[in-house]
Amino acid sequence: MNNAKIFSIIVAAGATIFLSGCGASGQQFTQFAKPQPDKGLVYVYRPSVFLGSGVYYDVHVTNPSTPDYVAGELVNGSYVQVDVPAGENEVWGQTESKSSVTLDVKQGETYCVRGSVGIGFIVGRPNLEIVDMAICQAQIVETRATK
Amino acid sequence: MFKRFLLLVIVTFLSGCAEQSMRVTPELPFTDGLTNVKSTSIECNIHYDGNTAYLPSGLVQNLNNDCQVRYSYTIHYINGGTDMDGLNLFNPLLIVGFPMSQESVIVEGKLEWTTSDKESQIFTASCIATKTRNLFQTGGSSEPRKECLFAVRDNINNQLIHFNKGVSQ
Repeated sequence: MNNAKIFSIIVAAGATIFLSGCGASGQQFTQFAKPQPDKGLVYVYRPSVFLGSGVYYDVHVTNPSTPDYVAGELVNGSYVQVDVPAGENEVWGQTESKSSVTLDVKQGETYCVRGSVGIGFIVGRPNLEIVDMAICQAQIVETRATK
Repeated sequence: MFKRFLLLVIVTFLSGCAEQSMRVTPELPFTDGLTNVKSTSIECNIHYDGNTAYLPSGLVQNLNNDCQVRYSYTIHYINGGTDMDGLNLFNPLLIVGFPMSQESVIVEGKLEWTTSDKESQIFTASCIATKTRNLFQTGGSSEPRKECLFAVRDNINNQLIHFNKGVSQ
């Protein structure tokens, strides 16, 4: 086996070990929590894929009653759970550009936002989409809490 | 020379692919006559629990009035996703704006006006906003959603003005 092949194997192994640490390490998702009666519950999840797996971003929530705050970090194969007040809530993430969705939250309801990473100039860009509960239930079970 | 011309044609073609389009229905052919009509004001008991910025401007809350107005809207999303981005990594046209995905937001607004004589009028409007994602235009439905809500609001407002103009003539 020549040096080039050995080097390639070492690089591939190193990349695998490195990237495996970029995924979520918390508890596996089991079921949706019950929302608080005066708030809505939002799940932001990110299915595990190889492309862009090393890129992660903070999930921000902005609404008229509370200033912008970070709900959690969305890494590959993870989910973030956050209680939000009723009304318009903007959920967004940013790397070299910003992607945002706006939810009309009602009290006692649960909402799902799916995150992913798309192509960017220098680094992958977040892509957030509102999905219905049927799609969410099928995909979120394969994710883990970020920490 | 030919290669430069070909590249220019491709760039010109693809610049039209970074599209953001919006269509609102019903189209209002009668808006020409509305510019001279004084803005109408409907004072009723308004039932609406959303952002007041999306409420037609002609509506004024008056709890003492017998007439009722119910305004609501629904929003549907058609997502584009990033599943095909892996293939686009090797696409050299990406640098000149080749589209990667497309997403749409559909907003349907409905206003139900019940007068004090218990007569009901229903006004509806729909908007579809489509946005293309490429290297120069990112995804996210917040902006198209807001634009559509404003467009639906204005469309229903114009329908109200036209209706009132017809009633008063």
